[in-house]
Amino acid sequence: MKKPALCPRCGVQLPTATEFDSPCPRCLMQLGFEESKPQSPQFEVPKIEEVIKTFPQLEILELVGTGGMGIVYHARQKGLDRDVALKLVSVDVTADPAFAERFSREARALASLSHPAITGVFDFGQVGGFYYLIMEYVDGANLRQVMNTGGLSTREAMAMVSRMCDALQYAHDNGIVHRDIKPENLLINRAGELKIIDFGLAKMLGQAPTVGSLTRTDQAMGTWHYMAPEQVERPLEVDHRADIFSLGVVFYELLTGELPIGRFSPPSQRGEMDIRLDKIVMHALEKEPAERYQRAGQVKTDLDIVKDSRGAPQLASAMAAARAPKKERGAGFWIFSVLGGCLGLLLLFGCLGAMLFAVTGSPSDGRAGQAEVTETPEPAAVPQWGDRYDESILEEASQGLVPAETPEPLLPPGEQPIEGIETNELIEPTPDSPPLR
Amino acid sequence: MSESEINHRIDRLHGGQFRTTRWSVVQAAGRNDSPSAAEALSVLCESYWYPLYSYLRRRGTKAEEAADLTQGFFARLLDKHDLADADREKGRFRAFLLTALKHYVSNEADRERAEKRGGRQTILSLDVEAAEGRFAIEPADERTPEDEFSRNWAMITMERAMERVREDYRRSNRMELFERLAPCMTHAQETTYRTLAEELDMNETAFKVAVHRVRKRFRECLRREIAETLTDAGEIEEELRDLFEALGS
Repeated sequence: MKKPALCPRCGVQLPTATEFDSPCPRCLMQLGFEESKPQSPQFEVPKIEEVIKTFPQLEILELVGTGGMGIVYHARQKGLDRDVALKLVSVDVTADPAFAERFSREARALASLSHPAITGVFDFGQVGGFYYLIMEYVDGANLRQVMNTGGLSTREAMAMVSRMCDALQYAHDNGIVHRDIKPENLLINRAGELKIIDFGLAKMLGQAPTVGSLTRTDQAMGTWHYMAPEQVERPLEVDHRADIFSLGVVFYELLTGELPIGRFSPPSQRGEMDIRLDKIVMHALEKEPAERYQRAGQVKTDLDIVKDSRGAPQLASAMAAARAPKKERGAGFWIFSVLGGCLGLLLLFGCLGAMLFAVTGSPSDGRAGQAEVTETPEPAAVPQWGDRYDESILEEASQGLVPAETPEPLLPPGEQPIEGIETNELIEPTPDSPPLR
Repeated sequence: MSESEINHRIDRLHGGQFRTTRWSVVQAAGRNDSPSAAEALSVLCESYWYPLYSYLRRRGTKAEEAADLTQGFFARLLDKHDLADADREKGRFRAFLLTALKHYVSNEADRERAEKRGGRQTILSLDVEAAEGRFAIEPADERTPEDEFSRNWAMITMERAMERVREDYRRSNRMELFERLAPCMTHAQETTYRTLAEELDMNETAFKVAVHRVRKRFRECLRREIAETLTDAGEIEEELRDLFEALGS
């Protein structure tokens, strides 16, 4: 007798005949459950009738989503017959008197951006008790939803990240930091093109990524994993490099399906892919902003090298970073250094032959542990991934092959950052923020 | 714009919080003669007769008799005054219908059939042949008539939702796309996506966006179908869970 077929997804026996093209009724029914628990808004959601009355120029079509501080509708601009996203922001102005000014300033800066991978801001203002933004509407799905259909291939992931780099570099050149890059803020339209939404919104809404606000909602907790360490530890020092870290997290997740938390494996150990992608991801994920890629464009340059080459030319930016002196080292480095140093001293007293080892193990030259690593040929040499990034491998690989690339300043020479977007002003104090130091 | 489109638009504006459902319309009408309530009930009965039929068959009733009983039951039900006598407590149409049928079968069926002897009443167009074909392929396991009823109810709900989705794609001339999306609704391999995307001359990512969208549309339609049978649309999640359980494990 023929064995009954099992659903490859849920493992339950499939019925012998069904009316559906999708053979598993249970899996089909499961689609009916909400994708995620809708976040309960922390404000009074306006009545739809009120919204329709307030925006007579818009035909309100659909409620797209409700978040902690706002509500988004899909609407059509009647005159222009253009689909737009209407974002209503709820603000307790009495608790945040600086809001109105900040809102206008940020919205104006966002409206000045024009890039195919950044959703444009068409209009903004305040009417009938609402602060609103009218933005480009993206008909498609967010990156999380696309990942949920079964993951992206390495080729697709590289194309996504490459386009993100273009958009981020453009925004950074214009002095705007996103500060909340995560799959939910990356939309893919029907043509499969990525667009970044909500640029600078985190700042506009005064959602300083403080621990206080992070513990408040599930959504913020989800965001946490994509945040650069300095966004939590030193929020006043956050600059565009925080976006590069978040891009690294998204890239890692696209390649592996998992978040880089704790001791995580290099992407190439999780699937078949070019080992050089490990270096790009890990370099973007450096804990210290100074040790990361300094420009989003550099990530793209390295991605292009991987994409275009069949052999193994070196990655320009990652190599340069490997050669640059480092100000601070991770815990793994120090453990290695101290151990190496002690061992060296012991051996120094013991015999002459050990002296050489003691020198290579000295903390002063910044290459602790290299003796071990250099004995293993590439590509088997795998860094301590829990320490995010190990320069010794890159340095070894780069010897004499690639010119060092000096990290460039964020803005082109002579160009000033847009007023109010300077890095030292990135976080506005909120009721949850710690007092300014 | 059709009535269903208007409803859909309203639902979307309220984030899927369906305000009026067919069953709530029927219940609100109560004993009053309301054409909209009569129509709503008729649509519900047309949709969900097969689970009742399969319930009767699983109880051992012969095909012809099951068809007669189903027709007779609906004749009583659609007569508003008789409906008022039924147990019309607030709740789900599914539970109401099964309780009412049991009541009908045990107390009134014999009397009704005696009265109507000699001619089968045709209230709904029941395709008994198709129903028998369908019943024949149901697995002959230990399922109770009630299990059979719930399982078929779940299947019908999904079929109706799927038909709504198919209709959307048909209307926008995207059937070629729909035919390739449908098998991906529950499960697909990376390579399947690539092949299907190539067949449509689409890029792989765009195809995955389309997969997400068809699943989302199915979710909306399924929830809408479920809501139609509830008094309170706030119970969708619970009813969905029950129907999911009814599909067995």
